[in-house]
Amino acid sequence: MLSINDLSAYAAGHNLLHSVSLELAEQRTLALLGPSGGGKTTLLRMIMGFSTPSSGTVSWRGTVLSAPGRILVRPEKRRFGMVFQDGALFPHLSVADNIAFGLHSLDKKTRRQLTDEWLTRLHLQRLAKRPVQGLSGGEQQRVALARTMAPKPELLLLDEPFCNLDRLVRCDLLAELKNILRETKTTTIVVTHDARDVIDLEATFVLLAAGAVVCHGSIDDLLTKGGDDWAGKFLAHGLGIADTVQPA
Amino acid sequence: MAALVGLVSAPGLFVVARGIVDFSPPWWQHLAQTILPFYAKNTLTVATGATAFALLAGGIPAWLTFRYDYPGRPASVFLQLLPLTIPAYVAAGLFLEASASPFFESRAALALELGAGAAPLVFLFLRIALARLPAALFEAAASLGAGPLEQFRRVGLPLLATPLIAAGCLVMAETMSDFGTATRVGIPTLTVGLYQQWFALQAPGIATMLGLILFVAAACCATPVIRFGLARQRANSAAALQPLSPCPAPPLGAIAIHALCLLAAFPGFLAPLSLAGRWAANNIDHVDIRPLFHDAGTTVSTAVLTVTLCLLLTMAFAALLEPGERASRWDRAVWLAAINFISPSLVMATIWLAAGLTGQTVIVIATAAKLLPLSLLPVADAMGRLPASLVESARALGCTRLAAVRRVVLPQLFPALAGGMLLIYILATAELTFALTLQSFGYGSLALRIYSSASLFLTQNASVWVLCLVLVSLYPVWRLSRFVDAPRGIHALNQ
Repeated sequence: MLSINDLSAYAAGHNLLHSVSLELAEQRTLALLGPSGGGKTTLLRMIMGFSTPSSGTVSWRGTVLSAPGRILVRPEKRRFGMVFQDGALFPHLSVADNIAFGLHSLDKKTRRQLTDEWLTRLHLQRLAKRPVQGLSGGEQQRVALARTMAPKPELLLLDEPFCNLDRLVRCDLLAELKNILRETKTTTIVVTHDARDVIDLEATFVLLAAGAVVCHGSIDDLLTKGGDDWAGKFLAHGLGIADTVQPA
Repeated sequence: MAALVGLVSAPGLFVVARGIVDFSPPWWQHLAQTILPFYAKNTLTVATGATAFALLAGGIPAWLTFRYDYPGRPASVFLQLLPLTIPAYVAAGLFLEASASPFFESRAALALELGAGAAPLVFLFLRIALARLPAALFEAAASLGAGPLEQFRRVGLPLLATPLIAAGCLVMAETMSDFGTATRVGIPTLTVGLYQQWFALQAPGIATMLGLILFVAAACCATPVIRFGLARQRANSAAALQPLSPCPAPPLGAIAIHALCLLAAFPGFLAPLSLAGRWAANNIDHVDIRPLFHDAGTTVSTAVLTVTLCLLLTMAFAALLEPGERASRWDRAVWLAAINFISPSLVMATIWLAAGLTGQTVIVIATAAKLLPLSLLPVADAMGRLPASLVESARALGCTRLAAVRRVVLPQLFPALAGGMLLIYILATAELTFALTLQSFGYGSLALRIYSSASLFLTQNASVWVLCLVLVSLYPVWRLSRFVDAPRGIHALNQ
């Protein structure tokens, strides 16, 4: 289980996160929702260990990973995987080499097998030898997803992976991701500002605004209870059902 | 624009044309059988040694000062750039007179002195290249289980391969074209041979052939630098990512980094400065202050005029460029100007000599033609990285094209322009070859005075001139170090 306890972060006099607490059971998917500047990516980077909390802790399976002002377990030791917003593919490596990057500790044969498996799974075989620079946005995100999933991460973090993609590519990739998560049962946190992703990924959500948790739960719960507050309106607008949600 | 293109391409064209006109098979045969192999061997040995030392002494501190934060980091960056204030020919002269050791007359000493002098250029080159490495790549490697060393080996090093090769070629060409230091140490290299053939033996035909060989070698070295520049322009679309931020270094690590920064700073700055300081303290009563002021004034005025000329030409050039990825033909052609910086000054000086032109104005124009790439290239690069939408949005908000350039483009170009100008000023103050070959009667500069004293093994008498040379470029070096090290500065240079 991932436990985030009273996490706060300050930078240059700004409150980036304010007393955020949440728990995520294994094999579940959580969506971090909210408007831009709400603290979603900051929280994700703290879970990964790229940023240090000012107060509070991040724990995984009972082990404290980050404490105030300290990274207790370095990012590369956490066995988490992260898909970056822009893919962050290594420009000096081919598609296949990018996917094999995290498999370095394995023997050559296993490495090859796993790389091929993920190339096939994400329909990237024909691009295997290609440099990553000429790939389209959708192809880049497929490679990024394959690269992250190949080492079998215990926790998958996705930082707005679909934000720069057109609707069609986005739907395809979302379907692929859903299948992968169902098959691998990987615990997942996805940062998004599109409430539809929460439904598509069958996720629970945490709504963050101005660095604080506004509400959390499932979309169904929120819609059943009604949308008389800002959170309800935000989600209803995101889902394109603003007109149908009535105040309680 | 025609003048600019002429200034950029004339030296190379002239040397090649002259080499073809003066081509004489018997002379080539004579050269190949007598002095050429000896000169070429010395030149290559020294250039290879100097390049290896400069890459180590400039490259390692570049990575460490970039990647780690520790007390005194700005000081170590400043220290790393300080050898720019004492040219290698000055250090060589000081060492030769301070010690009777035969080491200071060897090729190894020449390589060490040239390498220490060129290390700051490698440092600058790599710091700018490092600032272009997006943090996300290292974070992605960390998220895939790669530790700090593995991140460096598997991500940092492959991505730095091109800039490393380019920096190596830059140093190689710089050391091959050195004249002052080789003469001081007494190692006959191709440039020394060229000087002797032209001035002492009055054999311009043979000198031109040696010049052609040097120019071709320099042009070969320029190729990777040009490729580096063009590759960076092609990669502009992915440059919007945040650069790496430094992580804290443990106390022992900080001490080790400071010590590594001395690799170049000790032979290139601290040791020669302490020698000059000691001698100056002994000689201060006998120094005639008038020639000192005259030489310092000429040095500074020549450097300022060079900077002004480069600034005007760069601005004229910037006005022709299109911001964004749509690189115009000028944008690409400007990288050819890198050949000018790499071309041996002595070869370029022969153009003016052949035309019978000398004097301060000619020195300024020749120095500006050589150093112009240092401002042109960063500005062209910054223009390439500037989103075209910035200018378009300014135009949409009612700005004229000129107003958009003034209000949007220039503020964005300022760091690149200022960094380039500082470097041009620093290198112009230490410039020797043009001053030596193109001086007119009555012209005197700090570099000339030091060199002529060193020729008579009287550098001690010019020690105050050495300190003055350090003084006139100390503040610009400090400003440059702040540009390189300050997050705003390096990020801005990286636009």
